[in-house]
Amino acid sequence: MRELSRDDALDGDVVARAVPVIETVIRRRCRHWKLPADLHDDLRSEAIVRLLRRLSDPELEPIGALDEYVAGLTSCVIDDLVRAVSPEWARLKHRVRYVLNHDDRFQVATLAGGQIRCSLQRTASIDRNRVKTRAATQLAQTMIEILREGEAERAVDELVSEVAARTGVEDPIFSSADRHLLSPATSPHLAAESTDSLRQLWSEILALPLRQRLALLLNARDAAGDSILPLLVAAQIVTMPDLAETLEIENAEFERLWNELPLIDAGIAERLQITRQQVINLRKAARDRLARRTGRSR
Amino acid sequence: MNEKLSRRESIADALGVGRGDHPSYEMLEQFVDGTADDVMREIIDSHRQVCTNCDAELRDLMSFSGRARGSTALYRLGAAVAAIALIIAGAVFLRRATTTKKPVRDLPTRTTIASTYGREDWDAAVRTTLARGAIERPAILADLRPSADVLRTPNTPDTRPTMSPVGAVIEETAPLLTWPVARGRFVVSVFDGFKRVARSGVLRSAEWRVSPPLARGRTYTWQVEIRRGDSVELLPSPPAPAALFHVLDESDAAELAEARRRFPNDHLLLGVLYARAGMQQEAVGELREHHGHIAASVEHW
Repeated sequence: MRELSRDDALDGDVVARAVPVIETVIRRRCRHWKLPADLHDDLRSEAIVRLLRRLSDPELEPIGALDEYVAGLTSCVIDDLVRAVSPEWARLKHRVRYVLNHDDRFQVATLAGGQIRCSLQRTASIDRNRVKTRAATQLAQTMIEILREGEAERAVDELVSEVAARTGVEDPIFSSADRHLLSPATSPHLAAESTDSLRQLWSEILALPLRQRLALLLNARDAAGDSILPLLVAAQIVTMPDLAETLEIENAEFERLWNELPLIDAGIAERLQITRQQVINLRKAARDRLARRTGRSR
Repeated sequence: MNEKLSRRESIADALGVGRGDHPSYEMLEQFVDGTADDVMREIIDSHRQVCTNCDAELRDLMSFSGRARGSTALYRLGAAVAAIALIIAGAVFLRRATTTKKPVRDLPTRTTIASTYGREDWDAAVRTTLARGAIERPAILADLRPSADVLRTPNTPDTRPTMSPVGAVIEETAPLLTWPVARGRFVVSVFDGFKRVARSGVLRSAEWRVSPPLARGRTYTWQVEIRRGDSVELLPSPPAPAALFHVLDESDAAELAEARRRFPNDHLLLGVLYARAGMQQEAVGELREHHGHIAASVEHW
């Protein structure tokens, strides 16, 4: 299969190819729930926005299999909405999946479109792997009863809904008012950059774990490719000695490093004794946390 | 002015601040099972500090799976108790079978109160609280609130009401620490015994969210280094007592999460459970409206 680069994001063909997959996943996963038409449209739009954002991220590898990726991404969008509307149902689903993966009386298959289906094992296992808590024992028993009574094989969502019905957990009930849950709005007073908001941002950067701080700051560059650390100093957000202390780098070493900034990920990975991909993941986590703490959104 | 503005925008843009995705179920499962590598653990820990949904999901899954230390211990304890009970029952049965039958004496019937919460310990705790109209202070709070150094003069201001959290049990593993000094540069350290477990960078505002997250079930001491020019002061400074707080253990945290999930509007139950865990402010908050006299007993701890 041809790999897709971020340039393809500009091509409407990618969206055209993704939309039928998105529609299929939304229809399949939400068919038992009454989903208002406008919310359905918003789910589709949010999936497209996330896909384009992913394709335009220069740090990430190109997507290998678009259809599978889009199916998984659409499921994530639906999961995000479900957990916001009905956290109890979402937690129940986690529990069901945990039992499916840790109890050898069940078997699980993930289909090409990302759908997860489960059934009972036909032969008794010798290993007897079980989750040994009372809640898990009860849940496993309920799941076995459901799978014995009805269809032998179920989609996990269907199984969760059945368990929910028997345990008094309500299925998610959606309304048009839930549309805002899909794309949290940017806080207007924070959207406008000001020295105060940058200071707040900096104080949140200080609160990041060290590895996330390093992954974020040592690599951060402006549109011209220059490190932003000199800009932070020039804007009087932080002094050089404070920067060195924040990064827990000796002053002498930091001065030497200053002229090499921004560092490439491989260089940061070497300093931290981790892989380049882990550096990227740490930076993503840092950005996500900063956004949530400061009310920013992309 | 425009140049300055564009410079600021470029700083925020370059940092690329933007919301990412929540951890996937697979990531949560690896975290719970202890198979996630340290970077993934750090990413999830960092995310759960700012995402209450994910934090609640993770706690629920840990409790459910028995991977939370406390719940595993409780489960094993329960199993052990059940086993001992079976042995005793068997022994009693054998003894009865081999001894002469004695006339059965009428014993008073034990009143059984129907379970309200589906948990005997909760039923009992609420029943006792209603009967007494008050809740006793849990012992842990005495440990967390040492008296000031004996040499302290009566006029020395007490720092306890102004640093936060101090002398308290908290639920969060990454609490926000605040202190009442507006100016200066600050460095915060958190200790478990004599071992420093967290340290901030240099801060300019009087608050810091602890990172990395703290282990549960431990008592911590914290202090703030205040730097002004070349001088360095410590907060709290002797003879004021050390600033201590305790992070709720896994089992109590899971219990509270279960109560909030199952009975979100039952302020009496939540208040009793918070009080039992030593979370004074939260207990008073729950009890104040409908159970003022009980709330008052907690306020006076």
